[in-house]
Amino acid sequence: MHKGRIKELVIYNSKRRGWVGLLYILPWLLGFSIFQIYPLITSLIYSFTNYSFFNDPSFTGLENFRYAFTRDIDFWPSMKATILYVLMGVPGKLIFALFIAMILNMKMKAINLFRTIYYIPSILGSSVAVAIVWRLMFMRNGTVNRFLAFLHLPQVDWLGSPFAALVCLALLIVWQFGSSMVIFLAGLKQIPRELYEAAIVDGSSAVTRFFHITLPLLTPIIFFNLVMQIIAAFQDFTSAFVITNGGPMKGTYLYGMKLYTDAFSYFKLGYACALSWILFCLIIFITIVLFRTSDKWVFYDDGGKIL
Amino acid sequence: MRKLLVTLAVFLSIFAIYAGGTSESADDGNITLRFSWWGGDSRHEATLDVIELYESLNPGITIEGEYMGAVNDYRQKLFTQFAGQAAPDIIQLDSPWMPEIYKMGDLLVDLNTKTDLIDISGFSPEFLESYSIKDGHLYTLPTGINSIILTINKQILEEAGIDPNTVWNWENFITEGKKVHQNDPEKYFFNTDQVALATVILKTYIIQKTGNQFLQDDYTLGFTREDLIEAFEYMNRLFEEGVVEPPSDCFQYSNKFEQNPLWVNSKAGVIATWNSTIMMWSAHFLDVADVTNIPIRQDAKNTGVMVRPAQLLAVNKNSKHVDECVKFLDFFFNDPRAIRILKDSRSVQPTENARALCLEENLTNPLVVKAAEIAQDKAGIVYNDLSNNQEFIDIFTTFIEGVALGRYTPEEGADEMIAVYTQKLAEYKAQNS
Repeated sequence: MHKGRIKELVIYNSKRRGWVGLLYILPWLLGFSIFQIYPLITSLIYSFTNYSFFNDPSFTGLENFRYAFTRDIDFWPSMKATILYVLMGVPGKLIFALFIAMILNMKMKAINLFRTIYYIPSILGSSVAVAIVWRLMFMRNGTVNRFLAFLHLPQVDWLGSPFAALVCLALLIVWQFGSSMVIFLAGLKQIPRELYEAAIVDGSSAVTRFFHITLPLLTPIIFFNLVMQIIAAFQDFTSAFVITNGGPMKGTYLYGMKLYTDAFSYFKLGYACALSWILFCLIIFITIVLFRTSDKWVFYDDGGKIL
Repeated sequence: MRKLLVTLAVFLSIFAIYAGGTSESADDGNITLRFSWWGGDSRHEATLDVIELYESLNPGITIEGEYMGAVNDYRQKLFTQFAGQAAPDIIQLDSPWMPEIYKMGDLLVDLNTKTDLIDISGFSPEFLESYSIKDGHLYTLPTGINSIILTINKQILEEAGIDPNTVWNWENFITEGKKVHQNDPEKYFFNTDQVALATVILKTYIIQKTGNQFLQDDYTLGFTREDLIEAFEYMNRLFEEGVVEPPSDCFQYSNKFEQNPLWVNSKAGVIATWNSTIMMWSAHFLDVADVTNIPIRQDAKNTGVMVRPAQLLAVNKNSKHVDECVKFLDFFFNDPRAIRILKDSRSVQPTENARALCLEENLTNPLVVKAAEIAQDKAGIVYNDLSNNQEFIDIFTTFIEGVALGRYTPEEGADEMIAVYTQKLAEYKAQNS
């Protein structure tokens, strides 16, 4: 066949395929545009206005952002509480998830049963019911304090002091370690047995094997979990809303909750949109920094140059 | 050709998915109305029963109840629905929201234009004038009169040697009240939370002293630094003398102090509440319950006792079946069958005929009637918009937490709160001028 004709056919085919392909992903595409892209763009536009339920929006330029950074008395405390929450919750969750994953990676009887049991807290997710249970557990005469008393340890007024309440919320996300754990478990299974066998033959201890084989080979998984969990933790809302209602003294007034309150309690929609864009930029910034530093500490078998 | 057909089918089915949500199926003559309200179980049950009765009497009409417990959450949902033009057809409202609802636009049906469908002659014209009519339009109908009162558990008070008929002022509230905890370390006199301290107790304390609106219409404070310090100091005494359980305990029931185990297990003697909620919150000790007025100081310039419509019912102007909504409201307010079911689930019935019927057939709990009467005797200032503003209430609540939990002294708390209020008032003034 003539070369030009083949070329024409190829182009014709690829054109047609592209069109059909688009058609097939149209449900997703429509859903994505209507429920994601459209709100994203409108919220960006609203963030430059004074839109509330009570007046038609008019453009106020950067006023919302200026107000947030300079005059809003709740902005910086809320930001600080959120960052503290992320700093306590995310590393705690990852360490705990890895720890449990290591245990569940051992050869034991009924291992699948244990894996299922340990995943249960994550199925319950960020539900209101769990948050209510958490509140009851951490009350002054709740389960946790009774347990501390049983161990003759000093009792903590968990929900009565701003910092302890924040710790209490962070513990909730640490407890919901299931999804990270499953990913760690998959990662652990990928590490070649031979490496451990060789190390044992060389006489290395379990601790050395963990720090010199397991951890380095797991860094891509750690990296993935770290990024995902940080993104999720910055946006957390339910626990603060249900357990502490942002208190005491706004000590757990997480950013997500501030955003919600400004939007749906004070009806300052434009300002709330601006707040959500500030959060969005912060998360993007942290993610970029993590990616930039990743080639210093994340180890890929294949060199990982695709990134 | 077949491929084309398949693609076409896929295409059409996709559109079916997205079009599905908006189609209206009213061709068969059936009408569905949405009715939203907040309240406790007894109100939910009574309202659902009335809906069921109405549906059985009016075949072809379905009324979907959208109800929830917490009034604050209801407010957030409803305003968002209004903004998204998805509000229900028949709506229960609270009178402090009305200025904001009017600001949002022309949302409600003027019931004066529907008097052929609804009989409004039973409502008190003065009451409608104060709370339901704006610029000559009747936008809402009150479900009854509501007031802030103390509900007391006589048994707990008597056990501690307190006379249940005491007329309360702020001083004997402490000197008598502390006896409950002294008598039984597990019990406390007064059950409250930080929000009720802000909206009822300390606000009333300050208003009785000053006689002013808490926040005045000209965007200034209705109180001085000294007034606020005094109020904070009074609150600290409530905790220190064991009148109220320690703040770190009762503050955990923010906005839901009726769920505090202390209250549920009858270990607290008194709550301050709206009389529309007496039946919900006191069901577990009704045989020893009584009502009385909140503390009032001897030289009060204004009693500060809030009296206002229990709730307001309105019809959404965007409803496709306005007339059917109005007919339902007529049934709801005027039909003896409905009144017999609803009784006092929304406070004392608002129309004269309904009240007479309730009295005659003994349908209303005497406590609810008494609560309405004694509070109306002492009715105080009608709060202005700013004093009801959620943001200012939240700030007050935060400083109450701060002072009660020892983060601030009353003086520091007063200084900081006044600074924050002054800034916010300036912002509101700039927005609204």
